[in-house]
Amino acid sequence: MDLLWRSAPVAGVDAVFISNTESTVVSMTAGERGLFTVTIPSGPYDRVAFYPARQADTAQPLGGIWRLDGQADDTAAAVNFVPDTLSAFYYDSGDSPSYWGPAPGNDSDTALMTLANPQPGNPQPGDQLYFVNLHKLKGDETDPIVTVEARFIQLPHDGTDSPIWTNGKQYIGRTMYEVRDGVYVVSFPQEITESSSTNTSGYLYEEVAFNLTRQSGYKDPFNRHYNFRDLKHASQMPETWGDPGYFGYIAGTMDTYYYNTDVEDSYWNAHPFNADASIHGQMVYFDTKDYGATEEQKIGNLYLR
Amino acid sequence: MPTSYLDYQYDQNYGFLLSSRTNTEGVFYFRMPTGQNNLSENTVFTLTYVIEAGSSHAGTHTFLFTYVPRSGFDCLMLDYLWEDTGEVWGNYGAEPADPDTTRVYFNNAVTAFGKIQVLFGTKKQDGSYTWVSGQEASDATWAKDHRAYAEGYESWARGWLDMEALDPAERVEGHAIPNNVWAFEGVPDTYTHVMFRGALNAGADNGKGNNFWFSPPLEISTAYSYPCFFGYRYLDESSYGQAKDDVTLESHDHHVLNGGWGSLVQQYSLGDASMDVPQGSGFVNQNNVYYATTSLYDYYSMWEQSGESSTKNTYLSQYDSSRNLPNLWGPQGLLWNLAVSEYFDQKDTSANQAQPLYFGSGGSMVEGGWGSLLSGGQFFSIFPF
Repeated sequence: MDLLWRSAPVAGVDAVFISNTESTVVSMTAGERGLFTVTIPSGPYDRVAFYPARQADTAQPLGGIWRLDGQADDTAAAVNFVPDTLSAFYYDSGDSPSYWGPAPGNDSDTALMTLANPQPGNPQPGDQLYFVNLHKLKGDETDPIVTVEARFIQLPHDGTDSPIWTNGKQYIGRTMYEVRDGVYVVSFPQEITESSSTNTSGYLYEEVAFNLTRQSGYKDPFNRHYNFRDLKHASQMPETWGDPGYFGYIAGTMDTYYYNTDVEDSYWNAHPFNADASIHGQMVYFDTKDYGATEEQKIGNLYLR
Repeated sequence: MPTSYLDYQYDQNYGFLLSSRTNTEGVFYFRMPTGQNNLSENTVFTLTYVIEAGSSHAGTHTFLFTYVPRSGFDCLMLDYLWEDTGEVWGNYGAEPADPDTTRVYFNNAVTAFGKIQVLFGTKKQDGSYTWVSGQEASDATWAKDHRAYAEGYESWARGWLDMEALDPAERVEGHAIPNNVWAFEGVPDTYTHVMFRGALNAGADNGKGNNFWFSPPLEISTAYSYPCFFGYRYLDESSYGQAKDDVTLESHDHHVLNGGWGSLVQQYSLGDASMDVPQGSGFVNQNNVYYATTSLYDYYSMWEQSGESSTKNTYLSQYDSSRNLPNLWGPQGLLWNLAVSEYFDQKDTSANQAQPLYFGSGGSMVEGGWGSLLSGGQFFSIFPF
C-alpha cells in the first residue's frame, strides 16, 4: 500500500522474496489508490523486500527487508505475516515510518474484530481506526486535505510543542491510508499493548491526535488529543484546546473520527460501510436541550439537508 | 436527499425545517425518506441551527454529519457539540439526569393560589393509598425543609409539604418557563402518587382543610420529563357531606382541584409536540409505535357562535354567597371548556369509547389538559393543528 499515492505516488513495485539460498523478483500488480498485490511464490522464502519497479539491483528497498516469520536478524526486521490479517505493507515515503497491518477496507473483517473485542477503550494491535473528511465526502472542500497522520500518544506527555513534536518519542505517527475518497484508515500499532505502572489505564499509550496536511501545504493546527481508552482528565493540554476529549474505542462501532470544519465540531462514531448501507426509514433524533455552557444559548429553527 | 418530503417545509438554502418533536422536551426527530433516493451511511447531511437573538452565539450555524446507526447511537446531542468533547452522539430516551428522584410542578395560572402544597404517597394493591406522615416528612432529608407546619409537625397524620414558586427568569433544559409555576423537586422515585392542595391566601391556616382546594390522589405522570399539573378550582356539590375518597379525610368543604398533567415547558405548544404520521408511499408501521385514528371536533359554545369572545368574563359563581366564594370561572371560554371536560369525565371512557384529546390553549382558554394519550412510549399523533 503506497500511503502517499495521492501526493507522491510510487510508479511501480517489485517484490523480492528471499531465502538463504535464493531469491526471486516478482512484479506486483498495480491497483487503485496505491494498492500493489502479489502472490507469494512457492519456495523456501522467509523474507521479503519491496523495490521500485526494475530497480531491485540498484535501489534501496522501500521500507526495509522483512522476515515474515517474526524472527528478526541482522539483515531483516520482523513481521508475523498472517494472510488476510497482517498481510499488507504500508509504505510511507515521507517522514513517518512504514508499517504492516491488515488489508484496508474490509468491513467484514472489522465486524469480526468487533465480536472478538467488544470492550470499549481497549484496542488491540491491528484494530482499525478511521478518519473521515466530511467536507470531502460532501464535495465542498476548498483546500483539500492530502495526508492524514494519526499519532498514538503516550501518557504522560509534555504539551510544549504539540502537535509539532519532533523527537518521535512521545508518539507513534502513522500516515493513514485513503481507502476511499475522504475515508482514511490506519491500524493500531503493536506498541499499543505496552504497559505503564503509573497510568490509570495500565497502558502507556492512551491518546490519539491527527496531523493534517492540505494541498497548499497548510497544516491544520491540530493539537486536540482524544483519549481512546475513554478516560476523562487522564491528561491536560496546557493551552488552546484545554482538556483532551475522550471516547471508548470499539472496532467497528466506535472507531472513526469525523472531521468537520475544525476540531470543535468534529466527533467520533462508527465508520461508514464501504457497501453504502442504506439508511432508508431510519429515525434520527436531535436533542436541543441544555445547549450552551454557563450561559444558555436558545436554539430556534433546525434545518436538515 | 430529496427536496420534498411529507409536509416538511423546504428552505432552498437550509433544507427541511425540522418540525416533528418527540414527547421529550427539546428533542426533534426525522425519519430518513424511503423510495427513490440514495441515502446511505456515506451521505453527508448538513444540519443548520439558528441560535436566537439575545444569546451570545446568536446566528446561523451548520454542522455536517453522516448517520451511521451501527454505533448504537441515534440522537445528535447538540449540547455535546457545544461541549466540544468529540462525543456528540447519544441515545434518544436515555435515562434522565437523576433517575432516583422525581419532581412535580403545578401550573397556578388559572387557580391563582397563594399557597400550594403536596402530599406524596404510594398506591397499595387494594387500591388504597399510603401517604407520607408528618413524622416521616420530619425525618426525611428530602422533605424536612419543606414542612408545611412550623411546629408540632410530627404529630400530623399527613406530611403536607410546601411547593415553591419558580422564578420566571429560570430556565429548564434551556427552555423558558411560564409564569406562576410552582415546584417540588428531589422526591425519591419510590413515591408514585401525589395530592395537591392550594389556598388562595398565602397565609392560610394549614390546620384548616376548608381553606384549601384538594386534588384527588394522582399518579405522577411519567409521560413528561417535567410533569406539571394544570389545575382549576371546582366546586363539587356531590362531595358535600360525603366521604368519597381519601380527599375527604381532610375537610375540604367540597373545594375540589381538578386538572391534568402536561409538560412544564410545553404547555403553550402541546399541539406542536404531537408527531406527524408520515404519509405517502413507503411508510412502514413500527411495532413499538402506537398509531391512532380519530375524528376531531372543534366545539363552539352558542356564545362564541354569536360572535362573542371566549375570553370575556361571563360567569361569576354565586353558588353560596354566605361562603364568600371567589370568582371561579371568569372567562366564558374557560367555563365552556370545563363543561366539555366534565361531560367527558362522566362518559364511559373504556376502550372504543370517545376519549377527547384536550389541548386547551395558552391564551384565552384554560391552560393544559389531558395528556394521557401521550403516555406509554412513542406516540405518533395525528393533527395538523
